[in-house]
Amino acid sequence: MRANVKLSLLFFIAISNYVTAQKNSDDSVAYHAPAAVVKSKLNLPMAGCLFDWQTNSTAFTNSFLLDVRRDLVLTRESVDNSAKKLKNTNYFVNYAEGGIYYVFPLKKDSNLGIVIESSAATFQDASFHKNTYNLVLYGNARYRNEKLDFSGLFYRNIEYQKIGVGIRNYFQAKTQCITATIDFILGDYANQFKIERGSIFTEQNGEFLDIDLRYERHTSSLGAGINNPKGYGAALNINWIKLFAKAKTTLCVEIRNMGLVHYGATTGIQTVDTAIHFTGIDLGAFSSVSSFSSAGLKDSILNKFNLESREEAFNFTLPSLLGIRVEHVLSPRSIIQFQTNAYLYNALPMLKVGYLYLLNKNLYLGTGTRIGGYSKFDLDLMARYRNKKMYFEFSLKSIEGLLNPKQGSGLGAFLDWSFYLK
Amino acid sequence: MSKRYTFLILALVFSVYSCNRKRQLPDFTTDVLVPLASTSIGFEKLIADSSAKVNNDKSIDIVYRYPFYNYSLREILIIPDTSVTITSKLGTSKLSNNFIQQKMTLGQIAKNLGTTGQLIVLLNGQTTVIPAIPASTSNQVTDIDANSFFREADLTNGFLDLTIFNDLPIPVSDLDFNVKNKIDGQTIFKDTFSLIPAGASVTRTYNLAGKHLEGSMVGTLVTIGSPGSGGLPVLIDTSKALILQLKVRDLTASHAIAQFPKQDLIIVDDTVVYDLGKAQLKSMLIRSGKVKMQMYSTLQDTLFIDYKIPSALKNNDTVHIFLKVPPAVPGSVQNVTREVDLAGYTIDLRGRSGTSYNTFWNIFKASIDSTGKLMPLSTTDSVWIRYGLYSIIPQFAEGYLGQDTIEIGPTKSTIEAFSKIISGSLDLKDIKIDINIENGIGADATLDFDYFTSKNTRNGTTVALNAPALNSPFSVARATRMGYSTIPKSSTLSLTTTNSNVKPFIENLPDEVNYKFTAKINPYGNQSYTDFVDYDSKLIANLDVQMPFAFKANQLTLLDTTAFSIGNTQNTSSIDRGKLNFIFENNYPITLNVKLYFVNSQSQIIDSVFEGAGALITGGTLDVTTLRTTAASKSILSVIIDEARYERLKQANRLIVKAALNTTSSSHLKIYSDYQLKLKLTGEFTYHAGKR
Repeated sequence: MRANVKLSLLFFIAISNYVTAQKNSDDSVAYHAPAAVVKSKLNLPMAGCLFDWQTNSTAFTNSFLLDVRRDLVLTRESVDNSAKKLKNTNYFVNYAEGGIYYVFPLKKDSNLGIVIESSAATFQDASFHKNTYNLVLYGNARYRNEKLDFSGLFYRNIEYQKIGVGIRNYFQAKTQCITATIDFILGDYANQFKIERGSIFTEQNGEFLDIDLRYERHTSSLGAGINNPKGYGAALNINWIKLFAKAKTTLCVEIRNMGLVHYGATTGIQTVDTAIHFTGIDLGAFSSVSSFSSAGLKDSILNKFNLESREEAFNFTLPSLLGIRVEHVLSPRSIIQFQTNAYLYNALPMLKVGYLYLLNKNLYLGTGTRIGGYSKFDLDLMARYRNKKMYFEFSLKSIEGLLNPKQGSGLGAFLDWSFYLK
Repeated sequence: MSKRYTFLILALVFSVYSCNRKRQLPDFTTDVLVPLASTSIGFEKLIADSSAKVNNDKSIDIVYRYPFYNYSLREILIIPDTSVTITSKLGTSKLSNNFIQQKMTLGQIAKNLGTTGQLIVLLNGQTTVIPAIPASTSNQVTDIDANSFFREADLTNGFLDLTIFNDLPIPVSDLDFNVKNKIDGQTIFKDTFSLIPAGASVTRTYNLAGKHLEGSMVGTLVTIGSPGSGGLPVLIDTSKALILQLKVRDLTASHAIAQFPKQDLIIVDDTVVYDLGKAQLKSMLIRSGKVKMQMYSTLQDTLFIDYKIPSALKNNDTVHIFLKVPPAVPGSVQNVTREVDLAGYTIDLRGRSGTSYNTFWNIFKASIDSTGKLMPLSTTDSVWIRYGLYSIIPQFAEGYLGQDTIEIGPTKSTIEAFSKIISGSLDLKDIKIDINIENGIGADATLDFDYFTSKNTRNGTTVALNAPALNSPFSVARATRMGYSTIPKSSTLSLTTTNSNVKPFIENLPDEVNYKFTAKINPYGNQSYTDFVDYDSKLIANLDVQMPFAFKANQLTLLDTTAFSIGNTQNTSSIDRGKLNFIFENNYPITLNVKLYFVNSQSQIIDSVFEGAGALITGGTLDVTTLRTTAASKSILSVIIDEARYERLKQANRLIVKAALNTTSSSHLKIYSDYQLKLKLTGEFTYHAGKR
């Protein structure tokens, strides 16, 4: 009950989980990547593993997030620094995904291959109004005689595993490749809540609070592990690659993780749609003032909210994205990349420009900068290694957040390591 | 293939892997301003222990009622346990009347009569003249078997009727006959019959008192003779006989092994008189209680108990108990206990005659039945029985309660209303005291007041209540009844400022009243047994203080202590520092100066708030013409709760509130029903969210 109504604080739970990673990287084209795939040995089976992690926010600084992670104490400085970055609407994401995959041709010298993949993921995202941040982290005392609107809060947290199977087909003289996989999703813990309408008015001396709230929360049956109730779902991934101009330019278009997870009839749903005028506990007798208890106060407020709880099935949508990527070989030693993503979760559209330089026969080093997503400017570092037996790619994201954690936001890493099995 | 299998295994590992970390709220501080509590104090809370009447102008008259004496039926009407014990020996047991017949044929008799006898046998079937036969010794013996009736018996009373019927063709004479026990040879009786004509009978009775009878006896015809047929020929038939009929009757035995007839061993039809002191009750309805019977028997026969209380009725049924005491094993005692709930029974206490009191009629009977079997009984056998009424609590009783005088006091009662006033003065505009006696007993009473004083123990002042009416006995009317329901009657002695000194009596601000008086029950004697009492009947004495809620207060200082706990819960420990705001809106014409003291478990004051000048809660704006407030005043009193104070308050378990009251005019000010003292408690504090 208390946790439910502490809704304005709940999205900060996500902060404490931010280190847990999830695959949804801007770079996670891995085994679909033009350079890695189209030029690969098509008739050989290939296996690999990948790990993708990112936490980022338009508001929370890395210092803020680290304070949470390190000591479970938010310092005033961290709170203030994040506050300076607040927009009217703010976003937060934290995801991680780790998995393995296996691609092999259906027959020798066939253009048709089979893709099998498996991974575990956790994903949290949130959007919130700056008033929500201020109300929660600074309190209502500074908003005397002022109506504070904190509508528009959304928070989602979902953990799941997936096993996918699909096909990969090369065509038009192997200048194009399309890969489609269907993932079977096994959902673990899932929690989502939103405040569609929320406002609070605090009287000058605190004689009363007027709170207006419309809130909805969905929570899967608690518990993780194979013996606990699960959600079941599916997701679609499509990746199309085309090579132009003697393979100097590669276009990659993809839809990723488009799907949902269905949680059964035991999914908890709590709703509040109430406007209250709270004047404190109504004490029956003057002498009762001395026996006032804070627990009673809390219950008194909560009871006014007319919280409705029930259980019914619910579908949690998966975080998915639409991406377009162009990679052009400028010279034998340099490659330039352009990428844009549209996210079907709480993030702004993103545009990225990257550059890779061939340091020696097999190793590329590069850098990229991103606009959108969660910040005005993100700087990434990339490394790509390839030989006849393997392909390895690693990138470190949001370097500026690492270098200036008190002001900057975001941190992440991407790793893809694949190798031919013959 | 093996690599593919390896991959699949890895895929499965991924698919079942799940990480579920505990989520917890990060710790941070936030500045909160919240309303904590609110209350309003209307007049009804100020006079919570009283009743009030709101007048048309919203002024208030209040009545405080102090019950200072409570006299209950349960204290005066106690029904003692009453029982009857009966011990019975079997000295009066009866034996059955029985009948035995034996024959002595002519052939049997003739065998012992010499030649004449032999001749008679030879002439059997012939008609001839029989000559006289002189008396001669016969010693004809016949067994008398009574074993089917008794095996042995020591008789205390009884008779044996012997009838001899002469069925012989000739008279018999000089007949000498006796009966003896077969084993010990004791003679039961012996007798001589001089002549019994042919075809005639003779009956004689023998007293068996003191005799010991055996079931096997022997009858002996010692001598017999005959005057013959008188010269007339008679038919000689040797099968003809003297017929002996022995009948025992009216037998009582001190010991017997016999077949006993159905008989009552104990019969008690009696009344039991309760000792109820001076009360003379005619009837009572039982609220709870029981009739209990305990029986011990050595009888080797079933004992049948029949107990009745004809005067106890419930739904037109009387108390009637049947039960059996099984036969005792020889040498042991059989016992049976039975209880019957008497709740709801009405018992007529007028006895069998219907004119007594405190008396109940009951009938007890113990008997045995005829079983047809031989059963040993003796005077050493006994039956011990106790029966009676126990734990009787009447719901209702009527009759005459008797005259009684009850001394009440010296004693005292606490007056709570003024006990919290420690100093200052209160000037009341008017006052009246009613001494109200509520009589729930159906009996007249009078009260004689010895004294009535108000005592202020804080300053030791005592004021005696003086009024001429208190110098005479005060009559208290009896309650009335409707069936078994009591309707209490109220009698009031009114004391006003004109007939008594009630004003100084109350303005003394007593926390005690001390009194002594005498109550006389039924001072006018028996009113034809019309008194009654109910289980719930009470004689209650109340002090009703009535006054308009109008007064002048001058530094009237109240001190109250209440339990206090700020707790040490996670909720409160999440508060770093803060400020409590007490926001008062007061439209009473009273200013209050408040001080708060916090006391620990060692009764030490460990902190105080508003110490010194105190916090002033100003009174409402007063219209000097109407002496009524027209607007409430607002006072905000803030208390800083820093960490040190918070730690001190956590140690406190009591809060002492000291408040000085002053009315805002020199006139008596009325309190109106729409006056309110509103309090809002708000808190401004730095709150630690999450886990510290």
